[in-house]
Amino acid sequence: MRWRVLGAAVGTAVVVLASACGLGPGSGTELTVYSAQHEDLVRVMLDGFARETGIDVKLRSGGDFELGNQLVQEGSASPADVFLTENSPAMTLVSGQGLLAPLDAGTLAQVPPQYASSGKDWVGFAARSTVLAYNPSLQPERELPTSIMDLAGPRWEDAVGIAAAGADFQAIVSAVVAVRGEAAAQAWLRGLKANAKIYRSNVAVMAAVNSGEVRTGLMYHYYWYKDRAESGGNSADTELKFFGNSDAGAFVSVSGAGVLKSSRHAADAQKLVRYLTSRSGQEALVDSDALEYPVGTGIAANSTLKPLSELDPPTVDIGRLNGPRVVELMQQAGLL
Amino acid sequence: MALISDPRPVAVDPDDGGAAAYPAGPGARPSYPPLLLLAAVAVALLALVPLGFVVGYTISTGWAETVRLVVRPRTADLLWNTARLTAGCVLLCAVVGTAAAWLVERSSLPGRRVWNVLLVAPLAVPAFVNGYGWVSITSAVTGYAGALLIVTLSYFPLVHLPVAAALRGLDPGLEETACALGLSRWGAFRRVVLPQLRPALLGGSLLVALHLLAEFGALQLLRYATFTTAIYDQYQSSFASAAATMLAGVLVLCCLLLLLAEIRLRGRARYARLGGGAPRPAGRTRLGRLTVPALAGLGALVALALAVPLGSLVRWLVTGTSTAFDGRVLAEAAVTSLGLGAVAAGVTTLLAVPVAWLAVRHRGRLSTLLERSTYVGSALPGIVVALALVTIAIRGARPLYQTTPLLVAGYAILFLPRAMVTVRSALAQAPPVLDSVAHSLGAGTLSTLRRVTLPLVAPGLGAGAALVFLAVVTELTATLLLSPIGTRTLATEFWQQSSSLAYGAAAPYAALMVLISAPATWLLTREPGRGTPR
Amino acid sequence: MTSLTVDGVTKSFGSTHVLAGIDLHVPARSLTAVLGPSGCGKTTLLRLIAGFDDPDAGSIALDGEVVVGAGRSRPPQRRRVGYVPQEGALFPHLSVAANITFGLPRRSRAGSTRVGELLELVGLDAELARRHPHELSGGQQQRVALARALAPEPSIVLLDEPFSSLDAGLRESTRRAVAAALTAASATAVLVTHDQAEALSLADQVAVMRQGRLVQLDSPEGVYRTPSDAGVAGFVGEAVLLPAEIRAGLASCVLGSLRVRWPRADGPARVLLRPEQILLHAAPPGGEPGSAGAGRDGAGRADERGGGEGVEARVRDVSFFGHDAAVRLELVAAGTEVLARVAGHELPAPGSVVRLTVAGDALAYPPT
Repeated sequence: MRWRVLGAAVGTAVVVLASACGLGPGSGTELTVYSAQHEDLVRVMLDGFARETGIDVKLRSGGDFELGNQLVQEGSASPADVFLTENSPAMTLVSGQGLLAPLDAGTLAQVPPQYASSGKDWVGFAARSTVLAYNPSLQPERELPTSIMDLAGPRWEDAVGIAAAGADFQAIVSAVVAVRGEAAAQAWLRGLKANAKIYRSNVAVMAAVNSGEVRTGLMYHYYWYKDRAESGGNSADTELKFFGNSDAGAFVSVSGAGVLKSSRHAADAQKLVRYLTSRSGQEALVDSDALEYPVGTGIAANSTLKPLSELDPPTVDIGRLNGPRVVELMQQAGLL
Repeated sequence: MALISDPRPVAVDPDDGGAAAYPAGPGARPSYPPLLLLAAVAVALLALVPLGFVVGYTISTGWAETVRLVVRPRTADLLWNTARLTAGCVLLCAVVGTAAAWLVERSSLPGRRVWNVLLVAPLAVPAFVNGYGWVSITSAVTGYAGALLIVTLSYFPLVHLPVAAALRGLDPGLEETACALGLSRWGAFRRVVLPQLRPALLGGSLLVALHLLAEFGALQLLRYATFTTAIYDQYQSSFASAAATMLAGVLVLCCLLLLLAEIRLRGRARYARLGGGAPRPAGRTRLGRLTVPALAGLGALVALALAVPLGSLVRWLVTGTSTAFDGRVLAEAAVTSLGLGAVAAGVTTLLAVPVAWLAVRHRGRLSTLLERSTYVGSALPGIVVALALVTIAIRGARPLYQTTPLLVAGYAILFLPRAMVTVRSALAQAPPVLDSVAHSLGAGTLSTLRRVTLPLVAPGLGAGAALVFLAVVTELTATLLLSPIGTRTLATEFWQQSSSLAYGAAAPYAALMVLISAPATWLLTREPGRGTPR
Repeated sequence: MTSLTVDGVTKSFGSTHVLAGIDLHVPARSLTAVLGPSGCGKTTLLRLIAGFDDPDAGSIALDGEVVVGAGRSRPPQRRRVGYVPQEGALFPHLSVAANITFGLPRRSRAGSTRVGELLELVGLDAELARRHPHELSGGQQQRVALARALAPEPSIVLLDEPFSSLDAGLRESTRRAVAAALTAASATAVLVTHDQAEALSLADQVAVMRQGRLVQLDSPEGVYRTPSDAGVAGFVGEAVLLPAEIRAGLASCVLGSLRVRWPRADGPARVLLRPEQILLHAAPPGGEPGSAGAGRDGAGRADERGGGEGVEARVRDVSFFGHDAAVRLELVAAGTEVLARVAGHELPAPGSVVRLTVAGDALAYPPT
């Protein structure tokens, strides 16, 4: 019993110390950021921010909707100052609840207008393109679908990998809804339910396509590029098809940044969002391993990527992509 | 000489009777000490919070909406998946666990002590690490067959342990009598031994089933959709939504049904030794020609359950090619896991004491009810408990939201039953008659507690705390939902890395989890009951 | 050591009446055995004396000082009552020495002389002090339990069926040791048992309980020779109960005309004989059933000298116990079965015919 008491005491001390370690030296302010973007990318950008301004940031990572819904639940009592999303529907959700504060004009001026919300309360800081990854040895190039909607057809049974539970795929579905309408989207989802193999994540989708487990997979571009830049272990036997043609499958999803109205460090929070869309912030993004597209005006993407101008995405109002409705549709189709 | 005329008829003294080993202690009748009762009720209420939440939510959602959300093809899919996996796994685990237990306890198998440890060791490897070990080698284990294989390999010790303990305690006199009455060896096994193993088998099978219903990580890795993975997906997509809670409700129903089934099947039969005399250890069946196949079988089992996942883990550790290894994060995660484990172990064991005390010393309807309430926690998957606590904290107890105490409360609710079982048996080491004797020798209540009860109970309490510690260090889902900002545990870090297929980066976390769980698991392999008074 | 007085103690558990008005006095430095069958309430009585429970009514006094009664109750830790439970209940985590010194104040615990003295008192080797309870035999554990109870010099020692869990062989020696220890310690003791041999051989005073009431309180001889009713008679020893007709101080029964201990009113009754009172003699030569002096109804005259007269009986079976034997006989004329005890060296042959005479008086009881 002595050991147990000792252990408990040590444990308590240790937990206290561990959480205290989170508070480092630096300026007095510390921002709390709820981020659904990939942590390695966010850290790079936040480190740059800390170097420039000396403001420390405490990061809580999670999924788009996990954090989005949590913010909605927390309401005005939320400890978060800044919300970063990987895709826009979650930001729309939070914005729709009136939880975001208007952004500084200077921040909004740093990006083209299609990458800022019409309500001027959030802005994109990174973008990614929908792609169809395919395994050339199983899937001849000439037989690739011309539109993402084809994937619900009879030829594609057990041939499409999707990460259904992820916010990335749900953002793609929201684009389909926006571009083709709800009825078409419903039909498409039903077709996918029959055709698709469900994976946990985009990486898993790509790995499955690579290993030949499934012929094609819907995901975002940067996973392929990242993997190729490293060892190619999960992408050596994979090629990418960009749909283009303003097809729903060419949807470019925007990662958003917004300041919470309830933030207790509003000025510093605005500084952070401004940094993310500034030249230095965007260049940090480009130089990082993330291989996502920058959105800042006049910033060129990483040279290995297909240029943003060649992607020909459909025009969607990123501020209107409806996350919860997509969840309902997917539930009805049996994908969730 | 006193002569008394015939007395009025009076009834028999319930305290008398030679059958009682000890005369009834001061509290043997259900008169509950108030403070203890209050504490026990508080604990039981805490354990019932998640269940209450699910029920309350369902009621407030209304019947029509509930039906709409629950009665969908998807639910049927999930139900079918869950049911067939559970059935298959329980069956396989029962067979494998019993066979292994019999081989180790009742046959002439060489190297018994080693086998004993090896067969319990899979408990030190969390099911999701097991799944990771297999799936990082081949994707052929995805789907039903793979899931069945891996969950069986992860959970058969849950049957093996109690069945082995039961076999150890069996009275060979019964089998010998059966053989004298004409039954063959196999007949004696089937009709005399197996029925006596029933409580252990049923209890172990129930544990397996409940673990399976709650299993999330492994099944997610293996791409096998069940209620837990679906609830998690729902949670990811729409937070604490009605759909998620409804699925949770169905899951809870399944768990409660299982609990009921086990109670019914256990029945009223008594399985302890009747009559005087001490049980002697049973003789061992000579295997003879079957020794080699038996060894091969056990060897294969251990290889699949331990060698493959651990080997894969080591391989990834060594050849890890993914993102740069962050030692600082690893250290932080390890320290947090240890700290949380220790705190939760202490708190949970403490919480178990009043309920167990009442159950052992003041047997009665109320104390049984309170005890049963605490078992509800283990019937509920971590995700349901976490969901309930998060929602309740947000809606009703804001200061608690996103705090470590809430996380510890979640752990306590989840693992109270583990502590309960060991605390109960620990309390049985200090029967009330010892208290009576101590009082008669002049020791007051506190003094008796300190000098008699506590020293006898402490080892068992320690074992209970160890079990909870083990469970907390490897807990994944509740931690994902409940942990405060910036808390990283070994399990959550592992999950993050393996979700992006960064198997190499995930390996150190998995390895640490296994290492930390190993000592506590080793404790489980030691035979209890050595050195108890004749 | 002190005396114990139990006055009108009543106890019920719910609707179950367990004790119905017990009056008992145990003189100082004596051993009283409370004897009764299972379920008669004797353990409850012990627990009330010890203080583990409180009576519903009545009082208990130690050396004249009331420890429970009139709504007040002293807790067991302040009653200074030694308690030896059925299985000894030694503290398993403590050594024998630590067990024994448990009840002593902390300062005195370390000193080992007391331990040695007490071990010697209960007849155990001093080197057992370092052992742990699970290393001792049952009898040794029981003795250590007694030493432990005696260590703090209690006012009274209570023993709850202390020998029932021992093997038969150990029982006798342990009993002797315990009785000797109690005498040497000049202890007042109350021993609860269902074994009449134990009660009769160890106690100075026997209290016979039945169904929550004290049926007789007397010396062992008194309880055996003059039981207050037929139930007690049957409980404390083997009994031969025969219907009889009493006339002028003599009882006529199938064994002949017996002298009755206390004159009773004339009329029908039952007479009690102990088996050792029935003497066996060889049947007279040429002994045919119904010949030589036996009356037509089989009643003979009680003949204390054992020669000549007597009732004829056929030996049904003989149970040989070494030192004595129990002989089951069937009276030839009346067909009644009686039990006789004879010394082990004179055994009749089963099936043979013998003559029975009765030694000593019979006790008369109401017919039913």
